[in-house]
Amino acid sequence: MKLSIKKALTLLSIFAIIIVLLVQMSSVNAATVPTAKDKALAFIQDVIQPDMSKYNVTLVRDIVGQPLIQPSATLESVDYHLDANGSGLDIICEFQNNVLTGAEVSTNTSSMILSNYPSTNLNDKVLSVLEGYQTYTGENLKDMISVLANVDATQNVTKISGDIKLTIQHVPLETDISLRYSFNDTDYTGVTFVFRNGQFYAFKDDRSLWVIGNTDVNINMPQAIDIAKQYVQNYSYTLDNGLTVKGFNVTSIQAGLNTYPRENSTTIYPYWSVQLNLDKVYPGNVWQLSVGIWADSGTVFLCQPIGFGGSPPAATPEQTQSQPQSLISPIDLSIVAGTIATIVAIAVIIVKKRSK
Amino acid sequence: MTKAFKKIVPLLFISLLIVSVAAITSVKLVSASNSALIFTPNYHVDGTDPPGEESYSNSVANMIMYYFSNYGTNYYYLYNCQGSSATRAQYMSSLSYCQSNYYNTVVYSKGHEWTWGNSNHYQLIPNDYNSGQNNGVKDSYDIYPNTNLGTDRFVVLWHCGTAMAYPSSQDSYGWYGMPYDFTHNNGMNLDGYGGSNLSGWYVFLGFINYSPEYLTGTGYQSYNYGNFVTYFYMYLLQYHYSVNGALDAATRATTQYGSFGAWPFHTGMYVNGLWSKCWVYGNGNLGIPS
Repeated sequence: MKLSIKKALTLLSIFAIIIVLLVQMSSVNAATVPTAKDKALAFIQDVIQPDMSKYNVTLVRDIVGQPLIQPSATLESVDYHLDANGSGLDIICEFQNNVLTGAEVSTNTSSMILSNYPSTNLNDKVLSVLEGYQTYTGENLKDMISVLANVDATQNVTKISGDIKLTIQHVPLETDISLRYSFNDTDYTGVTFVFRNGQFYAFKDDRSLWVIGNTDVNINMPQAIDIAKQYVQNYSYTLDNGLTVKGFNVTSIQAGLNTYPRENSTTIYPYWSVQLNLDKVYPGNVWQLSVGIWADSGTVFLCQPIGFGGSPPAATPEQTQSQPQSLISPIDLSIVAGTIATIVAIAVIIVKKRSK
Repeated sequence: MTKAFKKIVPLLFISLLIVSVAAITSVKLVSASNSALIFTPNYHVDGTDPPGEESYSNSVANMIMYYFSNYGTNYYYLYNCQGSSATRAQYMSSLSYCQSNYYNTVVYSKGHEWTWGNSNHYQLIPNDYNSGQNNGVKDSYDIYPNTNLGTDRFVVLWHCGTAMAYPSSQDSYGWYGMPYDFTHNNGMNLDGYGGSNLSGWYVFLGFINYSPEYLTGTGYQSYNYGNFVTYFYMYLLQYHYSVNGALDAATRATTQYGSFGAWPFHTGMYVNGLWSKCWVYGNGNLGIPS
């Protein structure tokens, strides 16, 4: 009996030790998994590179939601405010399923980011940002860094090096630098950095959002155009008012390779996007037909009439003129009632005083 | 009886006075709140939309309504006005009602727009449009008198030509153009997205020339313009982004671009032979009224 009590106590002690160890291990795990807030701070330090000693950092909001449009995904937005004597930066980082997919910087003044990296040279800056992103992700991005290191970022550039396609586009507001994986003339996923006034403005990385199915391009552009032209010869669409429209005259065609998911998944495949411009506007305000053809099989999977929302340049001569309507609202009625009541009450008081 | 009557009458009037003052005060309290009007007229008598566009536009409007219902701060009046309910009279009465009872009104409308007057005036096409009567929702005749208090602070008109004719002036038909006739503000920043030193309390989003249909793809995977609009309202309401921040974030979500500023939808693209773009007037640094 005594022995069995001892045994029981020993077993209990061993069990307790195991439990304590398990709890400690799980807490260690929890501490080592960075949260979106931690990741956002790391991104700010590594990529945007402000001089953190000059800023007070405040977490403005951290919102987690399941977007209605993509209910299976978790979308978290972390917003930090960096303040340096009234000169502030708001930095929003977006995470999908806890992976950084986008970021944006806005300033409350026209002041520059107080940076650890004070160079005003755009070439240096974009390279520094990409190297910082390599540090942040821990990935080997040397192929991207290499292609970017050998171009002049102040010019519009399109360059393919291995599987990486670099596009630098200068538009009135900003410079967009896009580095995407490219196979068989088709651009897949990648990263985009946006600079405004020579400073980091925004960022997008969609590599975690899409899986590449295959990269097979078995038909060429002339074949794709022939398939699309043949397809629309027998194509018709029916408007919501019951009118069936067919017999389209095509005047010009544009075609290009792009990617599209199959069967509502996030796995993407190359396809030929063929736009057929029509000779006139067809019923439904349709001016173009858009045809999608899988590049591996040549199968048409999409044919869509493309419309627009009105016809502003066409003058509609005024035939009848409606008169402006004035509608009495509840606030008007209450003011009227109040005014009447006030007048009547004052009148009663005056009459009462006089009668005395 | 006479004495009692004499005592009661003044008391009754004083009570009425108090009630009236309270009513006015309560309207003022209510007027610190917001209203949102969502119009999807879906006029299809003349076959104005490709197949499926009408029902898809309704589902996008339902999504916008969902975000207002669940995340809108201080929105005490929401009206998701679709199809046969979206008549010319309903546009006018709803605008009038909201400006009279709420401090801010947020307006969204998706459909068609045609010119009238000297071709410099614009009319939204309601569900009960009759081409013989030319009874669109006209800028100077129907919008202007029902928005005169200037409470329509955030207006999105996804119809063709809605950002044209601004700043406004008067002609024989009155003040032309949707931006002025909705906001009664002729001093909004002419580039509310990319301009510097943005200020003021109004945002107007519309189109120079053609607006694309919602089912049209953006060219990025399977996303379309309806997805862009849904994301835009999601970021505005659920995630509390500014208008410009929401435009950027929705662009990143539904296109290959890093910001709205680089997307040809904003910088300009040819639609049916016309250079067309989505444009913002006012102060895009504002969030949606709350």
